[in-house]
Amino acid sequence: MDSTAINNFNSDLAVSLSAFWSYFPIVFLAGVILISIAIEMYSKSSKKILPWFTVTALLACAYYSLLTVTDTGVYFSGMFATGGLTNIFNFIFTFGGAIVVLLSVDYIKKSGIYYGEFYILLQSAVLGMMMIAGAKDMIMIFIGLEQMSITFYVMAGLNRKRASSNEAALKYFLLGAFATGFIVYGIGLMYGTAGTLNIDFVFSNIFAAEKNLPGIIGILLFLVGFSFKIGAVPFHMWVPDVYQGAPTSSTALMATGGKVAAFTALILAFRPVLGTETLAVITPVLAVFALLSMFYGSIVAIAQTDIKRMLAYSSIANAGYMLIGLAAGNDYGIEGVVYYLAAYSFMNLGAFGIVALIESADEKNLLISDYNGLGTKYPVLAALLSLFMFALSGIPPFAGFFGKYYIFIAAIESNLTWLAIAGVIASVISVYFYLRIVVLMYFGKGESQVTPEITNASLIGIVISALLVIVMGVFPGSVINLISNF
Amino acid sequence: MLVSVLAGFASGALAPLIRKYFSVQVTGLILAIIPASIFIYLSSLAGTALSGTPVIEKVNWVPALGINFEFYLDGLSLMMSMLISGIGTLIFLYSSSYLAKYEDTGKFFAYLSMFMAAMLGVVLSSNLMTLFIFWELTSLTSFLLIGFKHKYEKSRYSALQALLVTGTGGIAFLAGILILYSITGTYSIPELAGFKDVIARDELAIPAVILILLGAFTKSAQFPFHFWLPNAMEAPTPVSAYLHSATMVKAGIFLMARLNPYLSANFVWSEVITYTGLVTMIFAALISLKQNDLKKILAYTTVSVLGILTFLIGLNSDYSLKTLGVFLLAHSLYKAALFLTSGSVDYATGSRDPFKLGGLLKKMPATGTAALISAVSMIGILPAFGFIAKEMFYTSVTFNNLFMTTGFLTAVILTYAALMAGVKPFLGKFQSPKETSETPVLMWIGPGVLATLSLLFGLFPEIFAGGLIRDNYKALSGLSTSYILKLWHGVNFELILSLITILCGIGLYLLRNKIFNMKIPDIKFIKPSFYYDVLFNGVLTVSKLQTKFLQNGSLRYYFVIIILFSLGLPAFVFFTGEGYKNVYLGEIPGIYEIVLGIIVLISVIVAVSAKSRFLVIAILGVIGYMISLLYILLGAPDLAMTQFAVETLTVVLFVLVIYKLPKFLTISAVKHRIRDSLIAISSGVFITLLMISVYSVEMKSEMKEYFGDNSYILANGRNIVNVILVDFRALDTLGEITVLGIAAAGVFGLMKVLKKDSK
Repeated sequence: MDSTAINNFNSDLAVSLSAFWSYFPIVFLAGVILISIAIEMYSKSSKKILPWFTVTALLACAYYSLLTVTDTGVYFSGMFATGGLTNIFNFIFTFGGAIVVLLSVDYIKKSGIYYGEFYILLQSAVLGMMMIAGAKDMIMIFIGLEQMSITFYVMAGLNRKRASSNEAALKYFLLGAFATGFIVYGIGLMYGTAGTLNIDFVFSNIFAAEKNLPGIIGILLFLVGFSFKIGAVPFHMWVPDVYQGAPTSSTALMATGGKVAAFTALILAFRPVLGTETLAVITPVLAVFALLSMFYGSIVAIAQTDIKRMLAYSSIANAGYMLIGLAAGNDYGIEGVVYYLAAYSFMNLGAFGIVALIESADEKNLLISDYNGLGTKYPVLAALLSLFMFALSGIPPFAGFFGKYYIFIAAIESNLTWLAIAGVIASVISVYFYLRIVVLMYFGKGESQVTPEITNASLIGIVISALLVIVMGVFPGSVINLISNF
Repeated sequence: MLVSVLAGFASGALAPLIRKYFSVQVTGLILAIIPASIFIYLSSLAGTALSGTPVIEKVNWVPALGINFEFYLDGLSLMMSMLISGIGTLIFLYSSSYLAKYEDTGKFFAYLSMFMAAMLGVVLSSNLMTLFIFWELTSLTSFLLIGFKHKYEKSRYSALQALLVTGTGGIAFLAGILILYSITGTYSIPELAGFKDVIARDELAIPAVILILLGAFTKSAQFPFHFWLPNAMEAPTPVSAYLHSATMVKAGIFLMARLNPYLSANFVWSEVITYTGLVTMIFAALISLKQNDLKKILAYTTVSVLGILTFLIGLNSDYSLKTLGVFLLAHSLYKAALFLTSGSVDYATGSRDPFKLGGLLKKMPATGTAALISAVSMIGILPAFGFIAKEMFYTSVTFNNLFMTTGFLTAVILTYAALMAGVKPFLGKFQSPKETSETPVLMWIGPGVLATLSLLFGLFPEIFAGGLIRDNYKALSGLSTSYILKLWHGVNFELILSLITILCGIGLYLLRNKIFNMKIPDIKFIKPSFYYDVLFNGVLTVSKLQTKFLQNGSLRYYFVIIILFSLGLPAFVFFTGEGYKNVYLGEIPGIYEIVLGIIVLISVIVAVSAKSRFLVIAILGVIGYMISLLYILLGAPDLAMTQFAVETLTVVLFVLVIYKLPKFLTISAVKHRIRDSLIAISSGVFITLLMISVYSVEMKSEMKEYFGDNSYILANGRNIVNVILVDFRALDTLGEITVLGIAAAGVFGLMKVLKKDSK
């Protein structure tokens, strides 16, 4: 040695550094976090500055990601990718993050977590998600995941004075750390068998290897760990407790960005082996998880009385639908999952935004029955929530419908017709609990008892989500075309 | 055509606004302009549509996926869309008076307009995907309309039931379309013509056909999904007349008719349709005998007629397809009229019980006349249009005794029902719960127009309907015909059968009190609605039970489940993949290792059974130290040093934290401890086996080789770990040190906070 190796490394580094503008957003956001910490430390009005600073920064990242979407490349010794799907995911994370900030500005004030740290944590979580989206190596996935997860543990427990928030944080942390352990262990076994952790080769190497049982067990542990992170049955137990206990604005980020990021990791990891026999080995596992999640989530959501828990079970069911797309393993499936992830994020952001508005300062008004008669008292809020519920239940022409549509088509193309039909049946069940809220709002007996203070920032966030849900539903073609280019 | 559909949605959106500034009557009149103009527009297209070339319109939506707004106006869609817009106009007029006393009428008109638009979308679409979307919208608006009187528990129950049944069917329909798409690659209905072979032979075609039929059957209330329709009668009467007799429930019939030329290539199609229709017609007719509510009687006879229509499609014969158009048209005209008149009777007398009504003709001459004419058409007496329909129906079934008998019995009961619903309240001795007078003009003009049409269509069938029926036949069969509609076919077998039918019907009518008081055992489990309730409540119960047992909030329990599944899956693969064959236990360890191992084991047992937190921590520290000693024995002193440091630090930190915590308050029950220990032991055993087997498989690593080869050459160090830390990965190490520094600063900050707290 090998001066060639060193030279190679040096020239790669030079190329990577010169491509600075390709991965600029992630560096930018890291800088923003540091500046935000400084603002929080030294400025007395940090609580007023930070939200707008965060929104601006995140929107800038979102815009930049879309602008450079065709600028594909791999840098840093094959560790980090830019352009294509990475940028599409980054857009979902940063734009979604910006909406969460809008929803939180007034929420954190009323619910007793009026700390500047909230925004810094949010930025860190988004940074972690972006690291996952850019990962070209299992280690990068892991680092991004930890960056995001650890921030989430803190965000879940942000309301120190409330037992429910503490409980959520503790449960999330203990169970989450456990799942992370599985992922690392799995990555270790994969590395041993494959001799590399580069996403493009790791799976194919494992299946090409002679004695590959440890590697396969590694893949399974990886899958199990991520099933936990996406909240798929049977690793879903934490979801309802954490979604319910955490402050609603934190839940909004966990339920959308957090879940999308975990799916991003799965998509990136499995994409290189799409349609090969390699994937066929884990397809049954994915299919069973999908089946269990869809039915369990949909059926159990029916009995919930708390709206946050209901949305938690709905998110479990949705994880199931998206797993169908992965199990199908064809291009349709991946496009469908990406589309669905975007649709899912905006539908849930809107729904949680409204929940956060209706919620009172003392954590009341979270029961589904509190939505009784909302239609007459707050027609705009009720109409918006109905829109999100229709979209979530997959009623056309909103975004949720096409998400499910692509995924089911993908399953049929891959001869998983039974799974598609199961998905269809589960969606029927889910229609019941989504529409129950609509029915209650418009047809419920009695007067509405809630008196939310509808603030502009939240309303803007909710309306933007609603617009996206409609636009994605009415013009699904353009979104899909964008995705299918990569 | 897209404009017509959109106009409906737009007027729906505007309806509440219009209602804000105008009275109910005026709102209804204004909104009636939309269906009326759509009707006129469609009539203007009729000439072109019936000339043999359908009017086609295409607006791209998602062209990449073949999902577009494609509209197609031929005999079938023309007939349906004219019924929708024509009857729609009359319904708007009727509602504007009927709803005078209701609240929220703005919403009502909004739903009604949107329903009409969605329904037009269904019948005009020739793209299955957009057809499906409009289809679901009709279910949704129907749900809103049935639940309009939402203060009543029964209304809400019925609305939800209708939505769940038709919605489920709709989704089955979607699944069917998707499968059909996967075998044909098109959503366009006319393009299916090229795939008849595929549809006949592909094995996926059978599930596709069955799923599509499920959609059609639920929507058109076929047995065993019929129960939602009579319950849907909770809706205000104009809704029942419009949705649940004239239009929406015919969507399923429309779908079957539309797809018949293509899907009948598959043998399942016609068989399933024929027998479902046959069972439905007689079953629903029999139930209608026991009803004492005008609307319920009409509802069950509607189900029965829907069965007849379905059956006619299933026969798929030359003549049955001609009959279909005639029967559908006749039924829409007389049934909508009868629904409206029964609504008027309810409005005027406050009762819908035919046993308590009679002789209303004198008080309500216009309504009464319309009802009587419609009843005549329903019975099938000359010269009403219903007569032609029934004659043709008989001609279609004479070839088969089973079909003919069933058809005859159904017709008899329908005659009885027509007498009960259309004749009994108006003729005979005056009978009414309260003083009555004629309804406002807008309420009798609708049934009046419909009744007149029943007569005109009967008297001059060829002029009014001839072209329509011929083109309709062409749409259903793909063949042209020069069949001429006639009222009088001379004295033949059908006419005689028809006469006997009427006589038997009158006979039943005379025995009505006996029939009604007849005791029929009420067997719950033969009713399909019973299974609906069981399923519905079952799902709710399961849902609640799981919250109690599985999601009980206990963290330990969650751990149990997560460990079981996350290790169970790899363990399954490990054992089925015969990974245990790689387990090689190696040489017997030396005495020091054995001693250390025993100490670790004893410590573990003590730790598990300890009742104080301090003890547990201390013991865990002991285990850590023992492992460090093992490292020394195995020749890794550097690792041992690290482990010592870490163990010491953890114990100290734990003690600091636990100092503030109370003692264990509860110790779990013995049976839980046994369960937990079993899980713990088996996980431990599996992980150990996995570790050992991994050890025996040679692991590839570019890194190991690279560092082994180069650590001395490049960095002049023989301790590879050290070389990696300070040379190859020096930058990483610097990063780690920095992180540790920051963490230390953080701990220092926290301790300051703690001090402040304790002061």
